[in-house]
Amino acid sequence: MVDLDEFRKSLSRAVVRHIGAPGEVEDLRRLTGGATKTTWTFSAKVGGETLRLVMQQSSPREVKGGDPLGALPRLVGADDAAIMIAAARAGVPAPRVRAILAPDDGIGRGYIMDFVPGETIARRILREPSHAALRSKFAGQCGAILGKLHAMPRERLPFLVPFGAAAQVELYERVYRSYDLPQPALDLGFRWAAAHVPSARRTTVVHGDFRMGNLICGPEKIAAVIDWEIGHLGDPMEDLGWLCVKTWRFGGKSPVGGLGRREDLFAAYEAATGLRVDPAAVRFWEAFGSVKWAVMCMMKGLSHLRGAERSLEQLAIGRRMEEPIHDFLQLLAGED
Amino acid sequence: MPMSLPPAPDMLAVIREFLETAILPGLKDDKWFNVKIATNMLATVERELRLGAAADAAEAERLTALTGTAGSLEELNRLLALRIRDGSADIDDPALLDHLRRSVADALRINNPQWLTR
Repeated sequence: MVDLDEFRKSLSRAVVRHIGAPGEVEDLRRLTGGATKTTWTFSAKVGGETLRLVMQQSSPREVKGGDPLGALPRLVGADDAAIMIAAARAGVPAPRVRAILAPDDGIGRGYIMDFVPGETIARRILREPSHAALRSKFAGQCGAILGKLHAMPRERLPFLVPFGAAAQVELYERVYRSYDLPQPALDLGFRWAAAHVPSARRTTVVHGDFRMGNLICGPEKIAAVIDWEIGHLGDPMEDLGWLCVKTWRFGGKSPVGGLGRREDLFAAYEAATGLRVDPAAVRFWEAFGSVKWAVMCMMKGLSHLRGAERSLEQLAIGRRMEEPIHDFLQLLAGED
Repeated sequence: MPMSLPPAPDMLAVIREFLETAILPGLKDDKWFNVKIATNMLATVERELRLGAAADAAEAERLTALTGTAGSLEELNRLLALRIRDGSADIDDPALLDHLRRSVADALRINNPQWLTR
């Protein structure tokens, strides 16, 4: 474990260096933490102001040569910050990046951004009276934001890798098979997906994890899109489908994040882009999204076997694998 | 398994209740979060100990009928997975889909029973 006092001193020095003096750090809290990603919140005195800040530390996934996990997109440090900076420039609500950590800051790879007030806990966004106004506009705001996100200029983001539907089906199946723990329902999912890969009409920047939980919500507006670390180039319909995956509805009845209609999402997206949504492709990404999430659960649940940190959260997510498989089989049966 | 008493699920339940009532209220942030997860996982293992054997037996019986082969649960699942992969099992086969749905439902009754009622 890190020595918290030492860490606070290093963080304070980084604040002074990148943002401004006196840089005194207060209310340092570790929100979530894993071996490869840790989020901290803190306050820092800069000039006459007290800034509320968030630090994201991350490191590359450590895998052996030939391990298919190594081929999954993952942005760390400066790249993760760069895609958020580009997003903000394109009009996508994203936290303002204040500093990109340098190696000699001594606190790992990562960046410091503004704390964005709001709610990310789906249960509250779906049910609390405080977010009633947002709920009626949520699907439309998602459509408008995704329209802007998919117009982000790729030239400025040379580190993004292409990761379209066929590549994803192939790679996630390879990841699944690498465990050699056969789950017939997953084989069925991959056979279905391979037979239904849509042909993308265009290739754009794709967020890759655009969903309830990664959207900081104010009472009326989506205030920021976070967690850009699996951003890539691909089929923009992926982001629309992933947003509707049952897992990300958190018990809500409506498809878009549990509280919005597909029609509103599509209409706003079309208004923002001038392009038609391909509903069949969105459906593919939604169904395949459940297969993919099942494999992600497997990866997390078994990460300790590959020498990763022994994390309670990862184990617990592993036991969620059947949830998306159940949803996928329901979708196949036309029950949603 | 030896007939040791008290039964393992009861031990897990008492551990879980202690963590929930005596430990969790005094924690915050990531420590609260991780102990909360631990209590949920203890509940999962409790359910697995109570329901797992019957679910395994039912799954093995269905797999034997579906594949026409006898074997361990692991062997039969491997065989079925390979047949789906190589195309010799039809992914539209109602008997196959029915089997998978039953197996997934049994797993959810252990891992997250609420998922079945949403």
